[in-house]
Amino acid sequence: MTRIIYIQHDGREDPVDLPVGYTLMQGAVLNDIPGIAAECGGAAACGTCRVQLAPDWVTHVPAAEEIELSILDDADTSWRLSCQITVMAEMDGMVVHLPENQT
Amino acid sequence: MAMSAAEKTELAPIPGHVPLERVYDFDYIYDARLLENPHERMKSLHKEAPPLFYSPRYGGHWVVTGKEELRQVACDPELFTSVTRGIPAMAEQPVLIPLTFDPPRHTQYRAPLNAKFTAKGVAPLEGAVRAMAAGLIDAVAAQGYCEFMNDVAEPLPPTLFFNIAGMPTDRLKEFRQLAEDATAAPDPCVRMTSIKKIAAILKETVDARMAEPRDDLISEMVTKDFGGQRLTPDEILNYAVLLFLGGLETVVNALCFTARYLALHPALQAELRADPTRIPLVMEEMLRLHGIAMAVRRATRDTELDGVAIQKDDMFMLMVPAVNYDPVAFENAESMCPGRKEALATFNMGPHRCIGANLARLEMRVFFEEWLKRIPEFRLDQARPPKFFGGLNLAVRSLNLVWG
Repeated sequence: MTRIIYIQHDGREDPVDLPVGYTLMQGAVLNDIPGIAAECGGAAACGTCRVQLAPDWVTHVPAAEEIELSILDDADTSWRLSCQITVMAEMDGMVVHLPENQT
Repeated sequence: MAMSAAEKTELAPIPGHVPLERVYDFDYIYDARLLENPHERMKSLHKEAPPLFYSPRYGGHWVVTGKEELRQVACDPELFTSVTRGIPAMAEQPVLIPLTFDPPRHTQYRAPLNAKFTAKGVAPLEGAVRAMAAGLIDAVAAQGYCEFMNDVAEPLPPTLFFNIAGMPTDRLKEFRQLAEDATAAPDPCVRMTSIKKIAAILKETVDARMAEPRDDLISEMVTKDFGGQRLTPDEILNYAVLLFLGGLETVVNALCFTARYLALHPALQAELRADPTRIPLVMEEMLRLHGIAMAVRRATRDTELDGVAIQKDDMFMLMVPAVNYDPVAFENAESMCPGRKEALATFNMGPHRCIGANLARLEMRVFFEEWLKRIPEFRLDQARPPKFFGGLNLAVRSLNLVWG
């Protein structure tokens, strides 16, 4: 299991242990962590599962592919679609921040 | 082509695999209570039927009104395909890019256009939307009344589409008339003819951009890679018509249902006039309470959904405007609660989730910012109550408003 720490916009922390191979979006939805709408269910079609990786962790995550970049508005590479990030063992302890809303 | 009463009331036999407690007779086009008050009818479905029920109308089909059930169907295109002949079944299966495609082809069609429709992608259009809205509203402000549907709401999306697609404005008036016929003509033949004429006008721009691309949506469709290849002229035209129609009836009706809601709630009008910064969150609730478009899916194999056996080729009507009233998914589902945390279903879910959601939000917000600034307290014209359509879109036929 890999520990991922989701931090809500209001500062609340939700640490969860996820099996390798899950996406950060699935990890949040399956554990009832609010702040991720994931309206398209992981198709990189809606942009409602945005998260911001904590600065130390940005380089631990493979860079976004073209379809993800087409949905992301931000030039800041710490903002990602959580449905496009698959949990790997080396992400243990990773901190991701959730935005105030997904619209 | 008016439907006869016999066609309207024909009931298909209930297939053996459908449990009787899941059967509920609902005519999504002609249901009398639907035509009386569309979204009240959506609410009532949750009180009278399960979140997945079977209606014997139009050859027999499942109806999905629960958000979890919607998620399961819409997010699993392999099991619930968009390749269908519709409800009722048409003689031929229509091809509409990207609506009637499943991933991976759907994704190839869609991904290259995503960037144009993100919040940042649509933001540069705000000035144009505001100017269009102001012009349409100013044209009716002094007269003290309007038929909101035709006078104000209907012209906005076609005008905006011309702007985004980069089409020459000398055809706009003609295009608007065709768009009105395509949306509001009661005769389906008139609608179909209008859509063909719209395609003919679009084709001129497609041809021009193929010869000489510019910075507009049609040029993007001409020059971009869609899954390793360029789109053919026919594909571009098909896709452009769908993008136009997809943003037409949906936005027009969202504007109409919202104007009607505000007309019935003068205190909310006053609140938003006093503090326009509340408009965005209220509009989000307007979009939830007034979902417009439905979607159709077909089961690709035998399966189970909500504990019910589903057979291969069973048809599904995703009743998205009803999903927004699902009491399991939304706390106080029938109440207007600006800032609520649950995500609305209006734009559907899964890979086909509406590409124009950010544009629709922009149009709604900017339009009502201008409307509330320019029109004093308004109400429904008691002498001419609003009329509605059912079908794949919940639609307003006419909405007479008065003020002053």
